[in-house]
Amino acid sequence: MQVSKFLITTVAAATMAGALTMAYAQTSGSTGTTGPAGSSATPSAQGSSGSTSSPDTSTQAPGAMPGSSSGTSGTPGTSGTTGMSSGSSSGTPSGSSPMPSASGTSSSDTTQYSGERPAQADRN
Amino acid sequence: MTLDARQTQLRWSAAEFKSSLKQGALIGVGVAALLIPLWASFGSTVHEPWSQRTLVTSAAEPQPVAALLVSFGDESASPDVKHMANWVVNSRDNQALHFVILDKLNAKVFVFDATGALLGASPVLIGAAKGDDSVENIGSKAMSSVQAHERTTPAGRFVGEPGRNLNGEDIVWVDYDAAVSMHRVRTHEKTERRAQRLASTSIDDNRISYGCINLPVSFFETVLQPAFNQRHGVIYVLPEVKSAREVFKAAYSA
Repeated sequence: MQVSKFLITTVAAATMAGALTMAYAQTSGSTGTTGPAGSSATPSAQGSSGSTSSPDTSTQAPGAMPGSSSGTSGTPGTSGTTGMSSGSSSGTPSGSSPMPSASGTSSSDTTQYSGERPAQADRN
Repeated sequence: MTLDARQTQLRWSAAEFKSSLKQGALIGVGVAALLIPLWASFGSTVHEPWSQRTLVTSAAEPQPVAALLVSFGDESASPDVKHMANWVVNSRDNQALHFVILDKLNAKVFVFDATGALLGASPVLIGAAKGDDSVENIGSKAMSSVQAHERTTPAGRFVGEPGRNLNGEDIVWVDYDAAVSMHRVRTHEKTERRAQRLASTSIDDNRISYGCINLPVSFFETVLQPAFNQRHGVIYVLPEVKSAREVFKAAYSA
């Protein structure tokens, strides 16, 4: 008699504990033990749209704006490294005036990469 | 056993069964009360690795601008570069693509992965002329006809992409229409001393190109090119004549 009483109590306890724990997991949405930490946080930090097509809408393209300033001195810095470490410097380089232009934003309005464009000469 | 005795035993068993069930339920509630906090705390610990990344806060919910801070490590960067990097990450302006920030004033480029982790930085050579715009139709002009003042590296936001120039060299287009690209430093014209200019500690001599951005060969091949491997990336070229606020209005409107 004592054995059956013990079994009944144990089964009931386990069932109740399991049911309550699962109910908590479902209602709280914290099923997430799995890999989730990274996978759920990353996309939301960087835009989880997953879409690869999007126009350049966030920033403004510079408009035509002739300039006519020139020359100033720069401050020496360091240079010549690659990867995660390299030198830096500050200062203002000299030069001459630019001409009016409407560029500044790429003519490519999509982030959908569809292969290389035709080769053309670059500006060296 | 008489019939009465048997019925009495059965009733007793039923009562005992109910009692045991009730007792088991109470124990179960107690156990659940212990398990649930453990479950909840386990769920939070798996988030810790993310919080330790370079971006400072959890990104589980929408973040206000500047809530995330891009780490530059030991790399020096101007306030505008840092502001832009933080804005890009927070506004997701990079559309989950790698992105590049070119600081023309300091002749330095920064390459980031899609999450805003800095992949590398390097000095660069840029257009010889000071200015933030490209001359109209500059992309179709022969190099020999480009005037000195037209040799600018345009500022703005560009969707860059891998490609090739007429020599078959693999490059990264910044502004295809204006024929502006990022490529390995070109040293074939000895008088230009491009390699020396790139290696020098001064930025005064980093202006030599017709508008393209020249990078150290190793940096181009190990940092920039992998970031644009068969895909687009966003390139932000900070201005030098105009203010960053003027060119990137959205980034400075908050």
